[in-house]
Amino acid sequence: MKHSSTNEYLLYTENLGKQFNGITVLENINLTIKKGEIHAILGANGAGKSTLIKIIDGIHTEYIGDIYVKNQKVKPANTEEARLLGIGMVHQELSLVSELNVAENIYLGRLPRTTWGMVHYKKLHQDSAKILQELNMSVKTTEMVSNLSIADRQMIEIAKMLSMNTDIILLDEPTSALTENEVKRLFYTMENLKKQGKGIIFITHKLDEIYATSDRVTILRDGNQIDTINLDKNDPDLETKLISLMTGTEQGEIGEIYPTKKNRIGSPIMEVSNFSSKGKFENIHFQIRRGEILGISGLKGAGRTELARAIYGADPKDTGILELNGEIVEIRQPIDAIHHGIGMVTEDRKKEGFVGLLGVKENISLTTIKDVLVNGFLSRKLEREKTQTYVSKLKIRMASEDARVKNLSGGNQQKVVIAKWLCTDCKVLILDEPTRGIDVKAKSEIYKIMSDLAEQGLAILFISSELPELIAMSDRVLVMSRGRIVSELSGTQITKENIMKSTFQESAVQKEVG
Amino acid sequence: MQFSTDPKTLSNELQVEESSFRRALKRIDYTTAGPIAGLVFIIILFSILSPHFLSVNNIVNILRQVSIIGIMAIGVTYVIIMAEIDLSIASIMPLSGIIAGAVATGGYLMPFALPVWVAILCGLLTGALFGLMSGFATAKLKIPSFMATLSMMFIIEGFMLWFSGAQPLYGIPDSMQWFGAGKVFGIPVIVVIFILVFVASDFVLRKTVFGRNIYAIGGNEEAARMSGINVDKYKIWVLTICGILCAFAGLLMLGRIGSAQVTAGVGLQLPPIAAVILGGTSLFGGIGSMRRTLVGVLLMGVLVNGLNLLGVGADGQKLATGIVLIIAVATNVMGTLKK
Repeated sequence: MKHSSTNEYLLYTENLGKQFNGITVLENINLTIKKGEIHAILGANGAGKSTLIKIIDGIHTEYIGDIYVKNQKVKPANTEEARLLGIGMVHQELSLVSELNVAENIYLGRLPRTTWGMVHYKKLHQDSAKILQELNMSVKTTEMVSNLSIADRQMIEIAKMLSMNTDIILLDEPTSALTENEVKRLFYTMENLKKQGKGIIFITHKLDEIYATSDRVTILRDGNQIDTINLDKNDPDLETKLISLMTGTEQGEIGEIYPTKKNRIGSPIMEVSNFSSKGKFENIHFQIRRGEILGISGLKGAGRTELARAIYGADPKDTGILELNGEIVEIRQPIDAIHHGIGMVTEDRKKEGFVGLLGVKENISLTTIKDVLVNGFLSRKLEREKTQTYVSKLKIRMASEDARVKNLSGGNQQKVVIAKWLCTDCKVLILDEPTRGIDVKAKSEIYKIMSDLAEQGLAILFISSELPELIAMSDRVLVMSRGRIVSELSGTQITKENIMKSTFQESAVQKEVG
Repeated sequence: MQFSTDPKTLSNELQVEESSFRRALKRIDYTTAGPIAGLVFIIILFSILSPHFLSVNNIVNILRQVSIIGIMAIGVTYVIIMAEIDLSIASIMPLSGIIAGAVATGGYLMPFALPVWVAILCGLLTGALFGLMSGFATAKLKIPSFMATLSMMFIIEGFMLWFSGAQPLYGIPDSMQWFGAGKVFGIPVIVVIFILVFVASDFVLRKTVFGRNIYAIGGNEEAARMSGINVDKYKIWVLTICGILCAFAGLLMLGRIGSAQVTAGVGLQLPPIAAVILGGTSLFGGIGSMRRTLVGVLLMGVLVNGLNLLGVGADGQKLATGIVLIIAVATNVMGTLKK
C-alpha cells in the first residue's frame, strides 16, 4: 500500500507481519496512526492485536515489513529505542516498581541529578507534580506506588510517558481492571491527550468503549487486517458490521480437520451449582451429561479457566456445590477431583501439565502410578507396555518412551498430557485450551481423540477461545462474560454470530436473563 | 512410521530416524558419565603416583572416611532431587550423637542412663523431629527450605550448646561405639552401613512410587500437584528422612570418635551437598540419582585421600576440591541448560 500523503501520520506500517516458529500470526498489516487520533484495534483472542503493538513497542524485534515513525523508517530493537522514537506502551500487567514513590517511578532510570551527582529530589518532585497536574491527578508525588489503586497506577504509567515526550501511546486493554468511574476518567485523559496531538492506539474487547472514544478502528482476524473504518457513531448497523468483520464468515475448511462426531448424549453426570469466587466468577450453574462435549466460550478474563480450576480443586472457591451422579462431593484439591473421576488438562501445559525433565512413560504414569506396580514396586516393563498402548492410540511421536517430554513438539506434549488422563477411570475431563500453540495436524488429532472419548461416554468440558473448534466440537456452548454465564446455546444456535453477540453484548443479554 | 508432509513434524521424524551411532552418542548422558570418567581418571592418576593408593588397606580407609559424609549426602540427595535444600544436616548430625550419648550414659541433663537401643532410637527420633519441623515449615508455612533449614541450623546449634554446656561427653558404651568403630569380617561396620543405606535408598528412588513422585515434584511441582500428588506430604516426609539419615550419621560419628562432641559437625554442612552436585545431580531438582551421589562422594574421598598420600596438606586438598567442584558444577549447569 502506498501512502499518498504520509505527512499526516505519526506512525504507519507497511505490510507488517510476524511469524512464530514458522506459523504466521500477523500478515500484511498497514496501520496508520494520525496526529490527534484514538485508533482502536479490535479482534478476537489470538487475532494478533498484542503481537502487533508489541512489534511497534520494540518487544518483538523480528518481523516482516516496515514501520515508519514521522516518515522515517525505524526498527526499534527494544522498548528503550521505542521510547526514544516517541512510542510508549501501557501494559496489561503494569510495570511500575511498587516500592518506590510516584515521582521516582515517573523518572525511573532518568532521575535528575545535582552537580554533585546526587538525585535532585526538588526538581524530581516539581517536574512530576507538573505532569500529574496536566493529567488532573491529585496524588502526591511522594506517595508509594504500592498504596495506589490500579487506575492510579495506570495514570502514573501514562504520566511516565508524558515525561518522556511520547507521541504515540499504546494502551493494551487498559480498562480490564478498572471500575466504571475510573474508566470514565481514563477516557477523559485519552481525550485530553488526543487534543494535545498525541496518537493513541487503543486495544479493547469492548465495543461500547470503542464507540465512546475512538475515531477509527482496525479489525484484525487470524493475523490479517480485515479493514480499517471510520467510526460513524450514528450508523445503526455498526455493531453488526464490526462483529461480522471480526468473526468472518468463511467456514470452508472445517470439514477436513474436524471428525464426524458419533457421540450419544446420556444421563447427567455432573452438576455445578452456585459456584462463586470473588472477582473471578459468580453464581455459576450448569450440568453436563455423559458423552457430551460442553463448550465454554468467552474472552480472556471472563472467568472460564478460573471456574474450571475451582471445579477441579486447583484453586479455592467461595461458594458452590458439585454433584457427581446425583451425589454431592467435596473437592478441595486436585487429588480429590481425581479420586472422584474428574481430570483436567490445564491451559498452561508447560507449567502445570507435564514434568519436562521426566520421560514420556513417567509422565503418563503420573496420575496412575499404582497401575504399574508389581508387588508394590515400579515395574518398568509394565510401565513401558502401558505407555506403548497410549502412544499408538494417540499417535504420540517421540524418540523413545524415555524421551524427555520437554523435547517433544507442542502437539505431542499435549497428547502426553491427555494420555495421563485416559489411563485414569475419569468420567469428566476438563480441557482448557487443549489446542493452543500446536499445529493443525496435531489439532485435528486432538479433536479426533475428544470425539472418541465422548463416544465412549466421557463428559468433556471444553474451554476454548477459538470459535471454529468450539462450534465444530461442542454439543452445547456456554458463553461466559465478566464471571457469569451469559447465554447457553445448543444445536443450530451454536454459531459464531450468536457467540460473539453474547460475548460482546453482555450487558444487554444480562438484562434479558435477569 | 508414518511420514507427514508438515515441515515441523517431518523434521521431528527425521531426528528420530538419525543413524544409530549418532543416536547412541546423543544418548550418553554427560552429567552421569562425566563424574564417572573423572573418578576413573583420578583413581588411575593416584595409582600411578602413589604405590600405596590401590592397597586394600587404603581402599577400606577411603570408604571409612567417606561413610559419614556419604550417608548425609544420601539424605540430602532426596531433598535436592525434590528441588529443595537442607542446610541443617551438619547440625542434626552431632545433636543426635549428643542426645544418644546422654541417654546411654546418663550424661548432660539426663538424670539416669537407659539401654543402648533406647539411646539409638532417641538419637534417630531427634533427627526425625527436626527434619519434620523443617518439612512442616517448608510445606505448610511456605518458607523456602533454604531459609527454613538455615533457621533450623541455628535453632539446633543453640539447643545443642544449652543441652551440652559445650562440653564433650565420654564413656560411650562399647556396644554403641561398635557402629562407628567395629568390624565385621574385617570390614568396618560403618562402611557396611553406608553400603546398606545406599542400596536401600537407590532402590527407594528407582523402584517405589515415593521415589518417582520425588522426581515429579522436583521436575515440576505444579504439574505434580495438578496430577494429584500430595506435594506437601512429600516435602515433610523427605526432609524428615533426611533428618533421620543425618542422625544416623551422627550415631556413626559418635562411635568413630568415641565421644559426643558439639563440634563433630563443624565444616560438614556443605561437603555432602557438594558431593551430591559433584556426582551430577541437578542443583535445580528433577534430575539425579543415588548412584550419582555415590560417585560424587567417592570422587571427593579419593581426591582428598590421594592428595594426602602424596603429601599434599589440607590447604592443597581444599584447593583441589574447590577446583573440581567448580568444574563439575559448570558442566552440570551447562548440561542442564542445553537440554
